[in-house]
Amino acid sequence: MSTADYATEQKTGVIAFVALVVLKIVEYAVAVAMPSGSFLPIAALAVVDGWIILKYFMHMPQLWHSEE
Amino acid sequence: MTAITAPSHHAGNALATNRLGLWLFILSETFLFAALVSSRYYIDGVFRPQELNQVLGLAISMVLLLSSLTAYKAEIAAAHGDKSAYARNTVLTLALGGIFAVGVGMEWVEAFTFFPPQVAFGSIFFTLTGFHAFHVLSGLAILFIVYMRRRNTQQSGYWGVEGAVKYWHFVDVVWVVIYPTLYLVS
Repeated sequence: MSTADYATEQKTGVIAFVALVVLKIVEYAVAVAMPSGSFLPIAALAVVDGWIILKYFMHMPQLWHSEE
Repeated sequence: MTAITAPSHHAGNALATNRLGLWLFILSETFLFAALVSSRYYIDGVFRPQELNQVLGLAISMVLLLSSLTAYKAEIAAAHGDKSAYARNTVLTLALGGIFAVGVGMEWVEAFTFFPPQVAFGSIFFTLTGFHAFHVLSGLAILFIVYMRRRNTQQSGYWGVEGAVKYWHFVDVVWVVIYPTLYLVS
C-alpha cells in the first residue's frame, strides 16, 4: 500500500468522524426541539450513525469483497 | 510417522476466516444488546426522566466517537507499518476510553440519586449502561494487551490490531444506539 493510500485512508476516517459528530448534534437538537414524538427521526439518525461506523471504521464490506 | 501439513491455501485464507469468526462473535453480541434495548421500550415505553443529564451523555458520546477515530488511525498505521503512529493513536484511544468510563461513572452517581435501580427506568438504565461499560473495559483491556505484545515482542502482525480495533468500534456502534435510547427519545 502506498503513502497516497495511507493519506486517503486517514482522510476517510476524519470525514467519517466529522459526519458522526454532526449527526450526534442533530440528534440532540431533535430531542430538545421535539419533547414528544422524537422516536422515529432519532432512530433514523442512529441507524445512519451505525452504518457509517460499520462501513468506514469497521470495513464491513471486507466480508463480501476479499480485496486483501 | 508422516507429519500432516495443511494445504498452503488454508494459510492464505486465515485472515478471511479470522474476520468471519470475529463478525459472527459481534453478531452474537448484537443479539444481546438488541434484547436489552428492546426491553427498554417494552418495560418503560419512551419515558424519559427530566433529571437525565443529556449534556453529559452527549459529551461522553463525543469522547467515544473520537476514540473510534484514534482507533481507526492506529489500525491503518499498523497496516502501513507506521509504528509510532500506531503507538500514539492506541495510547490516545486508551485515554479516551478511560475518560468515557469515568463519564459513565459520573452518570451513575447522578442516576442513583434520581432513578435508582429499584424503579423501572433505573433498572433499564443501569443494566444497559452496565453491560456497555463492561464491554468498554474489556475493549480497553484487549487494546492494551495487543499494544503491549507488539511493543515487547516487536511483532509486526496486523490481525491482533484489526481484531481489537473492530471490537472497539463495535462498542461505539452499541453506544450510538444506547445513547438515543436512554437520553433522547421521548
